[in-house]
Parts: sequence; structure tokens; C-alpha cells
Amino acid sequence: MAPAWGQPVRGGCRGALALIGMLLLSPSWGAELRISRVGTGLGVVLQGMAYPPTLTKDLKSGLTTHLLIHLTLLHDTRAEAQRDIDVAVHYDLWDENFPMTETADHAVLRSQDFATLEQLTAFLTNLAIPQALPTLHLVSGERYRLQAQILLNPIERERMERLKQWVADNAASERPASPTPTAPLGRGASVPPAVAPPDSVFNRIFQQYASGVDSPATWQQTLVSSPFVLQDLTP
Amino acid sequence: MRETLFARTAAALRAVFLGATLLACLLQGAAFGAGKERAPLVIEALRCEGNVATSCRFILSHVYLAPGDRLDEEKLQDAKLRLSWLRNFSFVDIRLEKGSARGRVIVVVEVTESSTIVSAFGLGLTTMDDSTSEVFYGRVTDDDLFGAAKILNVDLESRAPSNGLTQTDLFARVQYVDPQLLDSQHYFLDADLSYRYAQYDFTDGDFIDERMWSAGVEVGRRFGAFAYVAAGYEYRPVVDVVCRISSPAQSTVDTTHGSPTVAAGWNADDPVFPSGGLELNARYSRDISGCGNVAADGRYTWAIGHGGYLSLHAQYPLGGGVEYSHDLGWALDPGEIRRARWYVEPGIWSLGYSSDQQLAGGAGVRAGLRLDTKYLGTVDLFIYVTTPWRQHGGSP
Repeated sequence: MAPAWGQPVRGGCRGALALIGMLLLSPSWGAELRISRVGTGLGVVLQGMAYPPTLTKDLKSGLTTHLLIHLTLLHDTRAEAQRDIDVAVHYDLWDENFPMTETADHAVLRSQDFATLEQLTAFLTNLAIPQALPTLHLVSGERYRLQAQILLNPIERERMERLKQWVADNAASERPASPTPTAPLGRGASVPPAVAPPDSVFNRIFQQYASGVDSPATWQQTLVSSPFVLQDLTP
Repeated sequence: MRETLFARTAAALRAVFLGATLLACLLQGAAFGAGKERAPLVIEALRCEGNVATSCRFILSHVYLAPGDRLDEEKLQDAKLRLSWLRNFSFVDIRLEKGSARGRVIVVVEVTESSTIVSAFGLGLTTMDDSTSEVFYGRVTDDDLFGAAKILNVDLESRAPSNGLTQTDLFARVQYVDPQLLDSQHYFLDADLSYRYAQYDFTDGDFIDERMWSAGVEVGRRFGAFAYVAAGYEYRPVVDVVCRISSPAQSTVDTTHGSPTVAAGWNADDPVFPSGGLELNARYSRDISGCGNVAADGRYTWAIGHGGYLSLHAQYPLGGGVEYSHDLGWALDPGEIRRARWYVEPGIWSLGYSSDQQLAGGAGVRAGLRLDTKYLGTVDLFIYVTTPWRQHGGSP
């Protein structure tokens, strides 16, 4: 659960390390996070987003595609506030359009119907979120940065635990690999059993989960804005 | 009086109307607050695409939804992950199609079947006691032998010296596994035929020579999620094992032709790319006269930070190490190299062991790169730099 606006977030150092890791592991591919002042809030544009090639197929699947945008306001390396924004979109099989809804804190920020896939992908490539964060608690004259972690179809911890249990139950039907009786290379079971599951969405998600990521996702990207001072932002 | 009654009735009606309006507004607000929810969809049918060897019934048994059910997207996403975990498929996707009427949908599960033949190999260089050797190990496994989910496995390990003392090793094994013996969900059968030829010479005249053919069969049972035990018999038609390790010079000879075997273990982690949990396998042959047929290997792994893993290894006969490994990023899409992890492990390990506490082995550092590749399976490229040790009389 993200802390409320203005509530200090503990573990700034850990957050900074995670940020560095994310940046190393998920190159931005030229995408940018731009900030503007929209009324009493900060507007955000995730510009030049390069989604995985499978997104187009996902968007047309008829199922709901979720983009979770986890915003963190950074003051130096300290996380001052966080907010999660969910962008949900699906293809309506009968109306043949793409209804999209942006929500945060159980409230709808914006909803819009896109007539074509091209319009929708153009929107997602330069994803605009008006009123992404309120400016109320930003201290005048202080320099901030905004980090956006974008997760495609994230999976909550409870679901991951259920899946983990399912894997545990079903892994039991696999023959465990006993060690090689002799140890020619001095390593006992030196030959890795060739029974690892194939590379899959599953593997990527579980690798993230095992690494301590709270909401593993099939794809993720992290963007960080340039430092800004509230007064310098253009409406 | 009549006017008063009329006024009261009108007031009551107004109150009811206002209340209903307020309630409607609240309900509307709640609906708005929840976002632009789509009308509930009902599943009219479920269908499979892309399956050739796998039955649609098997695929749909992982979906947990049936015709007539209300569409549950979360359940479909979970089904996609469950199916993706199975080695049967290299790609899984789920989509909806229009049904016979508005609000009725057909769930289509699209799969790409993967090859049931999986391979793994390693290539490395090892140095010990003025001898440098090239090491190769490989494994080819058919996970769906006869199309009946039986497993056939072929292992080959070799060590060939490129210079220095003779340190040659060859191990080959053919293994057949029935993971569901007589259709049991708990019992399994493991049968194998193996050959080992090894010759290790050390600078002070010590040596280990071994030539052995072995055939074994075990029946085991799985317990809970991760545990198993097995018992069987190993017959060795050819046994010729001689060791002389450490001073005073003393040779032991193993000529035991048959031995009961017992195995037990706990497998709760990925064997090649561990991410957290315990792997423990032990196997014992009742072999009291010769150079070693007790083997046990344990590993516990912790995930550390972002993409790092720390594994503690322990091995019997004496061996152990601490491995640190780190992911080299996540592939955005399945490509030719699907996973990669570098590792470094300082440790000690044994090459031979005898019943009178003679031990030989090495201490050093192993470092390498493990890859999960699309075409070659698991690949392990490593270098092993070691110094030998021999120990007589128990603890080193």
C-alpha cells in the first residue's frame, strides 16, 4: 500500500538502490518522463514509451490490460510520497473499440474510448496522466525528481503465493534428480538436470518475485524525471 | 383535515423521491468510482488452438473455468501462468472471441508446443596438481518418451588432460524414469545403466583408478510438495577400483558387485537457476570395502538484493562452497538467450573416498556463466582453478 501523499517513506537508501538496479536492468530506450503543472497537481507524460511487441496482441485479446504506474516523488534520494495509477484498457468485442480508464485511490481520473488500435497505441506511447500528484506538500524552492515505475499486468502478492503453492504441488509430480553415484568432476550432481521449465512469462515473473519484487510483472520500465522546482514548472 | 393529510402524503412522497434520487446518485457515483466497468461476460465455450500432441482437455484442465461460468479475468491470467510453467509449451496466450450473443464469449487458449527433448551441457577448464584438463558434461532428456510422459535421459561427462599428470575421467549413463509408476501420483521408477572410467595420478605417487559398469533400479515415493525417498538395488558386473591416497602408502580395492541403495531428498528450488530454497539429495550404497559410493549434495539459496543469489553448498564426501550468482538482466521477450547468470564459487570438493577415511580432492575457485538458451538448452561455461589435497585418517 502506497503511503498517503506527504507521508515520509522509510528506506530511502533501499529505494535508491532499487532505483539504480532498475535503471541498470531496464534501459529506458529513449523514453522520457515529463512533468507539468496542471491546476493544483502535477501532470505527467510518459513520452516515447517502448512497450513489448506482445502488447498489441494483448490489447486486442478482449481481456483487460493493466498498466500500473507507481509514482515516487524523490527529494534527493528520499521518497517523499508515492501514488499508484492504474491504466486499464480492453477491447470491446461488440462495440469494436477500446475503452480506457485511469484510476488512482479508487477514483477515476479519466476515461476515454479509442476507436482504433492505432489511436490507443499512440496514446499509450505518450501516456499523459493529468493530476498525477497533488502539489500541496511540495516545499517551495526545493528540488525534486519524479520516478515512474511502469508495470504491465502486475500480479499481486496473494496471487503469487497461490501460484507458488500450485507450482509446489505440481512440481511434486516431477522426478527429483538424485546425484550422480560417482563424482567424476568432483561435483556429485554436477550435471544440471535438464528439467528446468521452459523460458516463459512464468519464469520471468517468478524470478522477480524471488528477488523481492512486490508486484512482479510481465514487463516493466522505470523512468526518472529531470530535477525540478515547483515554481519552474510550466502549466 | 383533508388538506393536512394531503400535505403529509405529499411530503412523504417527496421524501421517498428524494431518497430514491439520492440512492441512485450514490449508486451511480459508486459505479463511476469503480471505473468504467464492463458488463459481466459469460463463457459460452472454451477452445484450444495450436495444440498437436497435447489434448485440449489437458490444456483446459488448467483453466478452472467452464461454459456457463461468469468470466473471471484473474483466473484466466493465472491459467496462462500455470500453462506457461509447463514444459509442454513454449508460448501460451488467451483471448476472447464473440459468442452467439452480446455478453457471451468464447475463451480461446492458444499454445505453441515445445520440443520434449531438452539438453544441457557445460564446458570448462580445470587445473590441479600441475595438470590442466578440459571438462565437458552434457545431458539430453526426452521428457515425453513414447508420448506417455516417461523420461529418457542420457548423461556424458568427461575430463581429458591437456598437459601434466594423467587425470582422465569418463562417465556415461542412460537413465529411464517413470514419474508416475503404474499411473500413481506418488510412486516413481528410476532405472539406469552407467559406466565410469577414471584415472587420477598425483605428484607424490598417489592415485585413484576406477573402471566400473553399473546397473540399478529404484522405486521411490514422493511426500508432500518436495520430498522423496527411494530404495533399490545396484548391480556392478565389472568393478575394478583401486585407491592409494596419502602416506603411508596403502591401497584399497573395491570389488563389491552388488549393493542395496537408498536415496532421499528435498527439491524445492530450480536446480540450474536457484532463486531461494533448499535442494538436498543423498544416495547411499551399502559398500563397505572400497572407494566411495556414498553421495550427498545439499544447497540452500537466498535471494539477495535485486537479481543476486547466495548459495551454500555442502557435499559428502567432504566438500562445500559458497556461491554468489547474479542475473544478467531479464529478457524482454524470449530470445536466443533467455536467461543468463554469472557465478563465482570458492570451495573444496572430493574426488575419491574410501572406507578407511582416505580422501582426495581439491580446493579452489570455480567461476562461470550459466545460460538458458533457446536451441542448446542449459549451457554452463566455467573455469575451475584448484589445488589438490589428500587426507588420510579422517578429518583433513
